[in-house]
Amino acid sequence: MNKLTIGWMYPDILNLHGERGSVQALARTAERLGLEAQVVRVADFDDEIPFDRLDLLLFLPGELKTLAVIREALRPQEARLRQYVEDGGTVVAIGTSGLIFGREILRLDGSKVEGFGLLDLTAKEREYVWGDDLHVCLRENRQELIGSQVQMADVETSMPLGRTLYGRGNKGDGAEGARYRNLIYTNCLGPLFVKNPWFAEELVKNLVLRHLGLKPGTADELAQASFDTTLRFLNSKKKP
Amino acid sequence: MKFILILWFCKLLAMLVNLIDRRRGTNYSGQMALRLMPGFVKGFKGIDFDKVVFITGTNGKSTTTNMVRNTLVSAGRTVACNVEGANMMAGVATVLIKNSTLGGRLNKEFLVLEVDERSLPGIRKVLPGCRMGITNLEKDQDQRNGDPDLIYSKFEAAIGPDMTLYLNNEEPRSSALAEKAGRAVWFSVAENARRFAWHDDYALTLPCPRCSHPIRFSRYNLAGIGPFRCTHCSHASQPEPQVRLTEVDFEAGTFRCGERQYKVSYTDPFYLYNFALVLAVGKDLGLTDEELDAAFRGFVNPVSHDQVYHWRGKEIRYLQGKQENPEALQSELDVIARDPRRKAVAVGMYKVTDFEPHYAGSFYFFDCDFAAIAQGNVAACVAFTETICYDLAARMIYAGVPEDRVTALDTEEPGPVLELLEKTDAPVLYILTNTKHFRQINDYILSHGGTRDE
Repeated sequence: MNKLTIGWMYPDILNLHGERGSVQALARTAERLGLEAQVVRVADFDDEIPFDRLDLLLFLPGELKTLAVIREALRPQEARLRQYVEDGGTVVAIGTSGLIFGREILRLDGSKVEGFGLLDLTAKEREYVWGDDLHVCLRENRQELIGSQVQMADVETSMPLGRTLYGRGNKGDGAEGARYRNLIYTNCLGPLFVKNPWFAEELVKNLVLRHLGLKPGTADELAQASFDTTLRFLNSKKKP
Repeated sequence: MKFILILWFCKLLAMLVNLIDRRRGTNYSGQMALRLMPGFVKGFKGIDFDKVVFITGTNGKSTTTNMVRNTLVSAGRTVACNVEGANMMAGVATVLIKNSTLGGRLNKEFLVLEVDERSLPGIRKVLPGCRMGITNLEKDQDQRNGDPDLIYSKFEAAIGPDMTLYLNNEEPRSSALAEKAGRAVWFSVAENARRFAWHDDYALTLPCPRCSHPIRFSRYNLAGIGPFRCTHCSHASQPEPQVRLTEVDFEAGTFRCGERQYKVSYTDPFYLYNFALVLAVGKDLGLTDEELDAAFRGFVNPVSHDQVYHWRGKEIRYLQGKQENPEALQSELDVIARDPRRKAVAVGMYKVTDFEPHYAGSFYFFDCDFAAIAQGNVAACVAFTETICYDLAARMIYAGVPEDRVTALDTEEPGPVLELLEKTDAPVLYILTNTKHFRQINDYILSHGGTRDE
């Protein structure tokens, strides 16, 4: 693998919170790691998504009302999108755009937007916007993310991406974002990959490993499981 | 009777507040009146709602409101106006308290009000004015406003078929509101020498407010403003707007509208749209070209904060921008980029501490195009203010400013910033901050041997 091809999904629609900087940051990270970076804009709703060419799909935050239109626009390509995710393809959805990968979005006007259901997630539009800073510890590797969030909807999920160290996260219950295989949803803005270059680097390295057909060894998976259970045990102990 | 008693009390209060602290005089008496009687504004009489002009939008509200007021006064009309910018319900109530008789009757012919976007539905409910100019509707204060559609929906709720809207023909969001109003008057600026262009490869537009499909621009007069069309529905700039500024000559300070040439003191591109909006309102209210021209020639913007200093052999150009407002910040960046001279640039944007929770979000830097500065003749870039400086410095590097020319200073003290700028070989220093910190920097320059052009 000598090239990273980033699919920038609907840039003129999902255009909020300066997250276009995350596209720049990913391209920059790839180049720093010795890869050529190519950004493919999937600009219009009738554009066919070139899944075979894309190393990752990047969905950035957009206006809540556009999500229903995006969901409909993706319907003809839904089967291929599902397959891409099930095959371990990487999709990063930042802010509101992550909600379309959940089960449903409940709007304040009583309407519902049905999501793809790839994430066990439901979203309920908030009466007022919650904007604050955000500090997160990722469940998978204890990496920390820092940034801010502009929360338009409260989110309930059984598969959080991480837990909040500061901030509201999904709905103030300590959970932040969601993850299924390599489909990642986070509320963390920054731009995400500008403020958290270690996260961008991890993502690109994993893409290279995946391309080379390398998977974590059994011992590594056991170590991860050990980490999780030991941490639970430590947290349950009384402090000396 | 309750209304009259509160009015008298608040008139007295307004006089006392003006004697003690004029800065609180724009709001305090109105606040008190609303506390005593929430529906207070509805009690005023003698208001001709056809002569109530609201001015709202993301950017340019205060300047345009001042211009409309100045134009009407210059033409001999009497006007009540919140010129100091107290643009929520309490500010409106204060204007009415100060411009009414003891019986609660408005004693001016026109009521020209700058109105905060979020306050618009509530104000229109108690004061059903029939005319509204919208400067533009763009990304702003995401921490509070979330996405621009939230403000768009507030506008939709406030606009009725009894209204005439004055709409920016080149701004896709606000122009879509025409379908909610009884009548729309379009203002426009023709292609000119200071058109905006994206300098990076990551340019983007916006979703159509009607159908959510992408909007395409044929060119930009400002970031996000230019002739446009939706790729899906019929939403597009009008081919023949009623008011169109043409033949803009930035050096001479002139433009043409119809048969008449106007001479003005302010020619930055965003001012052109302000003048265009004032022409749309003024012509629609029956002012003559001569009256409009005379008003424009004498117009001095009381809310302009840009200053020029001379300090230790260098020229300092101090610009004040709004933070969390990409288009306003972009306009200031464009001013810097247009200056061909060798320059050093210091930008200071701050944590938001106006309300809880305080906030260090700085993503709006990436909604702006800093590349024009990077490609200009820049000796050094300094990013300052606590916490935010590192994000801002990173933004400059992403824009292409060489790393060795970027410095992050984690301070809000003007001294270290100015000392650093002074050491560069640039004869011109640009300082860009938000409006709140003007006094601190102004005082430092003047107390360290600087002089300010008046």
